[in-house]
Amino acid sequence: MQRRRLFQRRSFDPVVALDDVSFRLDRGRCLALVGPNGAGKSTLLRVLSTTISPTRGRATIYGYDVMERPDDVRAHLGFAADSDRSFFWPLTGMENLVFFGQLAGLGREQAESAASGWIKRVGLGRAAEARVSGYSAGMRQRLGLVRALLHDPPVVLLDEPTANLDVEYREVTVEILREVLESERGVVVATHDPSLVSAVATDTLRLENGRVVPPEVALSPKRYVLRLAAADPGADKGGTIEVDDLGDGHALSAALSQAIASGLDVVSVEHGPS
Amino acid sequence: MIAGVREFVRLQVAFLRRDWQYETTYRGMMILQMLGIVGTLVIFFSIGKLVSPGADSLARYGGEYFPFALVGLVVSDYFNTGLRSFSNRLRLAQTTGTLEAMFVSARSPRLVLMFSGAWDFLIATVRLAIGVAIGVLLLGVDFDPDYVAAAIISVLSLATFAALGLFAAALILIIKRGDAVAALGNIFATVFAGALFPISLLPDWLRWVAYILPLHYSLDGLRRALLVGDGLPDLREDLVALSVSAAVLLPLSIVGLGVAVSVVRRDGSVGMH
Repeated sequence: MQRRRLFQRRSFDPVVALDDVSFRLDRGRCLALVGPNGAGKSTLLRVLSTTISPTRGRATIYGYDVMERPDDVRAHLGFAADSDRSFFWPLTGMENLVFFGQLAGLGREQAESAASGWIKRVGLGRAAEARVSGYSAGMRQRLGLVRALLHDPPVVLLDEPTANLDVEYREVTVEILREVLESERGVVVATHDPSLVSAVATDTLRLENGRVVPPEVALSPKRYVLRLAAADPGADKGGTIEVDDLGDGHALSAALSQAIASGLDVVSVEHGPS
Repeated sequence: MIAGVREFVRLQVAFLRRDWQYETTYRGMMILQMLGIVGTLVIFFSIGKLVSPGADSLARYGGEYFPFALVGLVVSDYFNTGLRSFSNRLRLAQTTGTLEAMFVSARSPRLVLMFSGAWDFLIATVRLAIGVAIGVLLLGVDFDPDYVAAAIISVLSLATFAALGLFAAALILIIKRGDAVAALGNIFATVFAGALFPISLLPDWLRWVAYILPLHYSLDGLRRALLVGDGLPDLREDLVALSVSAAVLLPLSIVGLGVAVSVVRRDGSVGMH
């Protein structure tokens, strides 16, 4: 997969969403797109998945240009968007997967068989026979991951694949992505999750305001130690937690918000051992 | 070639199965729709009793109002289905967030949109069958059909209506709203094209509107083919008008849809609604 000097300017909103972004990704490698909200990570994935056209520049996947051969590009892709509204909610998880599997080129039986294996793998089990309208955000996210992998695409694009997952299913996702990489497929993942980056990424591209931040400028991942105390003197909830942050402050900010929302006072924030 | 056709059918069946699964979660709505047909037919059957048999304006269609209205109702239902099916499905996919997911599949977005409309045509056919069965079995409508002429007019009409629907879908893909298009289509169908009364009753200066609407030729052709048994030579004018409409509008609508897909890709609004 190659992208050369891509630009994307949204006509409905005069913002340069991507500005001079270039990279190359080979088989068996995983590129992590990191950066703050609005940096252009999702736009980049949408350009690669052909749902947004670059206003300038060129991107190829498997040698197919996203502008000239979008159908061929998509035939080699699996894409899990960050939206959890991308399923037919009155249908069951299984019915959704079979439909999207057939859209991806699988026969009905093939799609059923592949979906059956994957839904067990991601812990959906019997829930796959229930309507998606009853799913939690995390369940829909796991379903989205299965949809992206169902037809064994050589290139997988994932937007925040662990955002709504608990620790157990984060680990399952990491395990699955490692297997995908071992099978010589390429993965591009947009994420704020430092543990995902450290577990699967072979390359990292940091974006800010649509531009690539050069490695020498890019912030390096940091570990913070937060000392917390109960806001109510009678309660015994204080303690120390460690937070891995990509350097953009996102994980640290989330941890502080969560601590405060839980009724804890933040006593101190210190750099921890890296 | 055969593999391509098989793949085409397989995908269409996948869409129909999905829509069956989707719609059967709203069974009450389906039952109400079918009951609505009975109510509508009874209303027009009663109106038919008020219209003197053999009225001059109905002479070319056999002279009876209710058979005239019955064909008008089912054909205009098809017209509305054509006009609204693709755009309604597209709008639903936009608002539920499934459009982007389908657009990143290996299938061309144009194909996805075209397959999406088939369910509504299938249901319109079921409504047509129920309407005709009630008309014939319970309300005494006597058809005298020329089947070949009726079949050819139906196919050409279907192609024309589908083309108009694809234009509407292209518009909605870009502007994200489409109620006005559907409302306008409905007015044209019921008033100007002569779905419920002969256009000879319209003032002269308004009648020209009917002559530029393909629906008028569908209504005229099907009524004459089904009610008085007119054959292909008698229906030359309707056949030519519908053939030209289908030949021009169908390719243009497919191109238009492609242009609309390019526009939303360029402005990044596929997932917006």
